[in-house]
Amino acid sequence: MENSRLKVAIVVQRYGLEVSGGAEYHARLIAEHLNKYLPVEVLTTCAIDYLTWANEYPKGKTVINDIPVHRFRVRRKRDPFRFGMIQEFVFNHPHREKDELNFLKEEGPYSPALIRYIKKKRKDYRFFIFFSYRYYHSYHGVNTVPEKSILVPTAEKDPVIGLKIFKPFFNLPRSIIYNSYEEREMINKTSGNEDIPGEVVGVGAEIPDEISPTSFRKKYNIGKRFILYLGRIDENKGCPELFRFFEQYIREYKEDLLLVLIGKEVLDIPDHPNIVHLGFLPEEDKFNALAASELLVMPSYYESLSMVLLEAFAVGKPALVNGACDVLRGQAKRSNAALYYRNYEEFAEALNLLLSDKKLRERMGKNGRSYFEENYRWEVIEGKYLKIINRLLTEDGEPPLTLSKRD
Amino acid sequence: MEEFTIDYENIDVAEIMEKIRRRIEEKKKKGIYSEEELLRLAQAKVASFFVQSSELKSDLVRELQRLNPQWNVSLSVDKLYISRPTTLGRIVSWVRRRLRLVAKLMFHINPLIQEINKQARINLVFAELIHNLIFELTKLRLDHEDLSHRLNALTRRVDFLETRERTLEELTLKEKKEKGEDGK
Repeated sequence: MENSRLKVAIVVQRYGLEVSGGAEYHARLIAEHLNKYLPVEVLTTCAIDYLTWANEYPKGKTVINDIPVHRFRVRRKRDPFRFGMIQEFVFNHPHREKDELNFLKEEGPYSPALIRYIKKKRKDYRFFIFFSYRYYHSYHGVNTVPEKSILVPTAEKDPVIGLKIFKPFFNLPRSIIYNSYEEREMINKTSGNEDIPGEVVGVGAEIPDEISPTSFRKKYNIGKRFILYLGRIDENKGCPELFRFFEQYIREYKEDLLLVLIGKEVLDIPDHPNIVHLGFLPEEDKFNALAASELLVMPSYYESLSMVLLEAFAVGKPALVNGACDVLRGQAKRSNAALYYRNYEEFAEALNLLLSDKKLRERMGKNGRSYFEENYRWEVIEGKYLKIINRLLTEDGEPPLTLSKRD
Repeated sequence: MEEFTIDYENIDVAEIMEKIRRRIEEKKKKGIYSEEELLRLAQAKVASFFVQSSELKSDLVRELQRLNPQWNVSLSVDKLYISRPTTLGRIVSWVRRRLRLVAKLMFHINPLIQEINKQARINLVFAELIHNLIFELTKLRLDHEDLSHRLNALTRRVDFLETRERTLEELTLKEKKEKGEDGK
């Protein structure tokens, strides 16, 4: 095991099989795939809920899918009132750097123990890969060990990116791994960090070997044609607009089309005969649903990558995405596998076109599959991560790691 | 109107979206609608697309009343003397109550309490007033949207009927002319 000298720590706000957040799932997949080549450990908090950051897991060491996970306690839960107040203040009023640091603390997960551990054990790890720039652990972690930091920002186009503390922050890590070209452009623009080596990588998807659309239709008793929304049913994901557009579309055009929603509901879903909510489903059913659908609809305004979109591409389904989101529009254009809308008229026309033209759907699905194979197959993602690590090792005058898998 | 021609071998979604946008623009500019669309527009009950202003309900006042202690000012004489529910707090409260008579010699607290309570009642009235204004404004907005959509639908219908009328007139004139020519 030649690579055993290179222990890598993945540092992320939450970690566990129960944790469903995009960046956290992303971190887990990367940890599990890198673990094939290098010894990987995870440094995280005891939190499960990203709104409260309450300590739910026990602190200390545990092992998840062969990866040692070190959990540290969050010193205090998020106080929504205090957080709301300071957020409003730093987003909308002249303020000092100290206020932004307080915002980070209030946003959480405030775990000084995690940062202390990084400081104490810096020599034990060759590299620290920090996920999600906007949280306390990344900001203070990268500031503690900049010479060993690799940052995966998972940044979205929201006001946090404009905070002054992040301008020097994005110039600190040894390397930055972006999720999309749009994310890289946005961070370059706000922080002027073009000199920091960065690469657009993203994440792969675990596609089941067998996918059966008929079993999904039978299991959930869905006989009609349907379009699919996958993910948290939340205002931030653009769901209210999707419901409005879909209801209007049904009134104007079709009556036999369903909108099937899979995911945890955070807002009220309209009581409409054509809208079906199935709740949170196992991975297998999710892919069967994708295969059974006509297309995936992704109404989100803020996305850093959209793993769901990649999963749809992987199973050869076209998508209809919100064109107001730069990342989604960029992915649609690069893949030629998704249409994008900015208002109801475009939504209706694009949906009509996709539903009425089977050949177009098939060709776009094929494009999506090729795009996924080319850019998001696990071998490609793993190769890009290893290439980045090798480049840093070469810069430090160390021999590169071997690319063979560990025993 | 432009029909979609898609090069299936080289799909370019940006080009497709451009065509979709041009199609929407064309429709808007010319007011051209297919027979099917016209029929749908004529039959559609435009008002039903939106919430009827008469159906508008608001629980804002009830909610404000329920949360009154959280947002409104409130002060009673007793509140001035109580402390934390700890042993020390209870002792402090007891001492404060004992010294109440001494404090009364120095100033009169009741008018202040009365004024604060008056302010609390005024706040409640303002809350209701704000609620009513929001309610009326929302109703007006819904009515306005409803009427705008009715107007649009009617304008399109009138335009269509005008075009139809002109076409029929032209046809009739042409027929008459042809008959006249035959008669000669």
